Amino acid sequence: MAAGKQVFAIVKKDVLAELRTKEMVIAMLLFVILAMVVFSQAFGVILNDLDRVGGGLLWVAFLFMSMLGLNRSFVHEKDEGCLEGLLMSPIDRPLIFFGKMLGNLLFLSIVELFAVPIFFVLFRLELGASMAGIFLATIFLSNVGIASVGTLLSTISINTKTRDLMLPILFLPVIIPLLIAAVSATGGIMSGEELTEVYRSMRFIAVYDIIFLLVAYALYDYVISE
Amino acid sequence: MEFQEAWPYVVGVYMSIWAVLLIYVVVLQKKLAAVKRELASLSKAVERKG
Amino acid sequence: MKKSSLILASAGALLLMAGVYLAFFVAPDAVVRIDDRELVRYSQKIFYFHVPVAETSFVFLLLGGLFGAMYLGTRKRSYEQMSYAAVEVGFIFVLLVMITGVLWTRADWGVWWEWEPRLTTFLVLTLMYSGYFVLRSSVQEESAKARFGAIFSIIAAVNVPLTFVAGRLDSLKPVHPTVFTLQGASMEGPMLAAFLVSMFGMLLFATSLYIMRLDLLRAREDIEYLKEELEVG
Repeated sequence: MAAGKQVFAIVKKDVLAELRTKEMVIAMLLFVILAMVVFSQAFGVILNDLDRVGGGLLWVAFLFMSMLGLNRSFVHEKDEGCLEGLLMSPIDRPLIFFGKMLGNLLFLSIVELFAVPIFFVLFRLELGASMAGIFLATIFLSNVGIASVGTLLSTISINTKTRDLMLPILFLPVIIPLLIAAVSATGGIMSGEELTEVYRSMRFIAVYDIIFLLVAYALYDYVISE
Repeated sequence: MEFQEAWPYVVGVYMSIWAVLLIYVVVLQKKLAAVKRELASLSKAVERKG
Repeated sequence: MKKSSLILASAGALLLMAGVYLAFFVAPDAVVRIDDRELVRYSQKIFYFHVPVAETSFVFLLLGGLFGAMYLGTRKRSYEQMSYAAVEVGFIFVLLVMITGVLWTRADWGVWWEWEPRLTTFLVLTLMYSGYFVLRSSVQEESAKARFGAIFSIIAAVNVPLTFVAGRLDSLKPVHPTVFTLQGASMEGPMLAAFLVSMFGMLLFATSLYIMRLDLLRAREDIEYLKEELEVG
């Protein structure tokens, strides 16, 4: 089988499993909306200045939502012995990483595609059409980093005694650089800052993505094989 | 900050560095000694067994 | 104590004491000029130990990642032990950076904490490497513990410079003083001498700690081996 086909097969498997139950995407979406409600109630007063804090608010919700999804995607694999099945299948080991990573990227992006409009409506924010493009591009770019680091670390954490409790402890400190850049980029877009600043943050996110894609790809084989 | 105000912090820095390093050395040495003792008794046991 | 670690530890301790002497009695006090008045910045004395501690922590965390990669490449047990020992010694120094850093911030800026790139970097580092130890303790099987430890030590080492760069992207402007730039050191004479003596002393002392930790790990492995021997024989 060609590499692309093998990766596609894994993604297809995850999508089909999700389509059958729809439990993950719906739970993730509900989680994001609930997080927004919690924020609005917890920080009611300062939300008048939402242009500046809105970016951070969105990212906190997205990060925690992504951990929810990442854990889910491997609990299935582990509990139902799917990972062993994947390992025994004729798929090249390193390609398993790309398959799982693309699946996670897809689910994250789908949930966020629904969550972003809800966020803008709930917090009465507006964005021009050209800005909306850059905004979504930033989110997608960050998703690549979240999915790469997350896929690697959630595979590790699911194999520990504490399982899903382990993921935030490993994932959050590693994702902090990306969070800083993403908050700075989306915050800059929403408060109408100069685009050069925004592009600088986006460039950093791209560099982070490339570095961790390579690192996670190189290390993934050592996680899954004894 | 002048000497009168700053010295407690300066002294605090030096003391904490030495304290932490010394505690770490002592803990390591204690553990090493215990491990060496266990090692000696174990190797004797292995010898007796042949 | 093994001979090599004893020699290194005493050499390091001697250099560190010489560093204290140089810092307090030879190097001139740092002075700032504010409106024609010269003010002594006595808190600058902290720098002679704080910065060597920070650089030592970087060296050992980086070595931890490097040895981790070598373990994954060769699967030799000794590399894994070297990686673990290096990360642990590095972590001790990270904790020291936090303690001395907070004291320095209080002395120089008047606050205990400031969300500033370098301080944030070290806080994230502290948490990340705490995660390393939590991860190791929550894996039972020895081979998985070694693999996961090595993998995370590499990820963490890669993340250190990224966190540092990211901190500078934001509106959080760096206020932490920079002493060493690409153009060279912005100090000279007795000040530089005091700093370098402390720097080498700290590195030597840390190396002796690393050797002790490694000895401990190897002795433990020998015990496991002998125990198995007893059970089988």
